[in-house]
Amino acid sequence: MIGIFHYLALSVILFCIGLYGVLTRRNGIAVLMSIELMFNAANINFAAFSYYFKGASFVSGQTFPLFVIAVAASEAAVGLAIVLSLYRNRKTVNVDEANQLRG
Amino acid sequence: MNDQILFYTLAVLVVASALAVVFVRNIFHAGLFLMVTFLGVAGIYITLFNYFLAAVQALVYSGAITVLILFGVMLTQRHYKKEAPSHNAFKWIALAVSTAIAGFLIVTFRRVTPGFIQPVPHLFHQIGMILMQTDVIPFEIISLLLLVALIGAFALAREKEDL
Repeated sequence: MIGIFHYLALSVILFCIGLYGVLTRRNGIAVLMSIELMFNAANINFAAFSYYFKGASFVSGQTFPLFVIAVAASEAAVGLAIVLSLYRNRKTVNVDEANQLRG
Repeated sequence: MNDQILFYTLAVLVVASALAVVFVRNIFHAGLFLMVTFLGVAGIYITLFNYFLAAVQALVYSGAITVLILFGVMLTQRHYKKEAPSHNAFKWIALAVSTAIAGFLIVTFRRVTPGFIQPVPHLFHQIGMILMQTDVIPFEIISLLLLVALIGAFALAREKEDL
C-alpha cells in the first residue's frame, strides 16, 4: 500500500537535493534550477495532504499548488533577468564572483 | 500492486534526475534533466489522482519554465570554461547538512504518520468554484504579480544604453 508517508519521504528527498544544489552550485542558473526542485517538493506535499486528509477546506490543497506554480514562474523570470544583467555587467554567472555589495 | 510499481518507478525517476540536475557539470544537460524531473512529478500527481495539477505541471513547469531556463543558459554560456569547478568549497558540509535534515525528517514522519488512511476522491469541479469564489482575491493578485514580474524582468534584462 502506498500511504502518505511515501509521498512525504519523496518530498523530503527532493527538497534536500534542491537544498544541496542551492548551497553548492556556483552557476546562478543552476541555483535557480535547485530552487525549482524545492518548490516541487512543497507542491507534492500539498497534493498528498489534499488526497489523504479530508478537512474543512481540502480543496485548497489542490488550488494552492497552482498559486505556487505561478509564483515560481515569476520568480524564474525575474531571477533569469538578474543573472542576465549580472552576465552583461561582469561577464560571469557565478554567484560567488558577484560581490559588488560586499563591504 | 500496480500503484506500488507506478509510484516507485516514478519516485526513482524523479530522485535520479534531480540528483543529475544538482551534480552534472554541463549546465544545459542539467536543464534537460530538470525537464525530466518535472514530468516525473507530474506523474506523481497522477498517482494522487490529481489530473488537473498534473496537466498544469506538465504545461507550465516542463513546458514554459524549463524553456525559459534553457534560453537563460544559452544566453549566458558564451565564455563557459570547461575546467572551472562547478561546485563551491562547501561541498561536504552541504552534503552532511542536507543528509542530516533528510534523515531527521524521514524518521520523524515515519513516527508520526499513520500507516494507511483511506484516500478521499477529488471533486474537480470544485477547483473552479474555489478559484472564483473564496480564492478570487489571491487569484487576481497572482495575475497582477505575473504582470509586474514580466515588466520587472524586461526592465532588468534590457540594454541600458537607450535609457
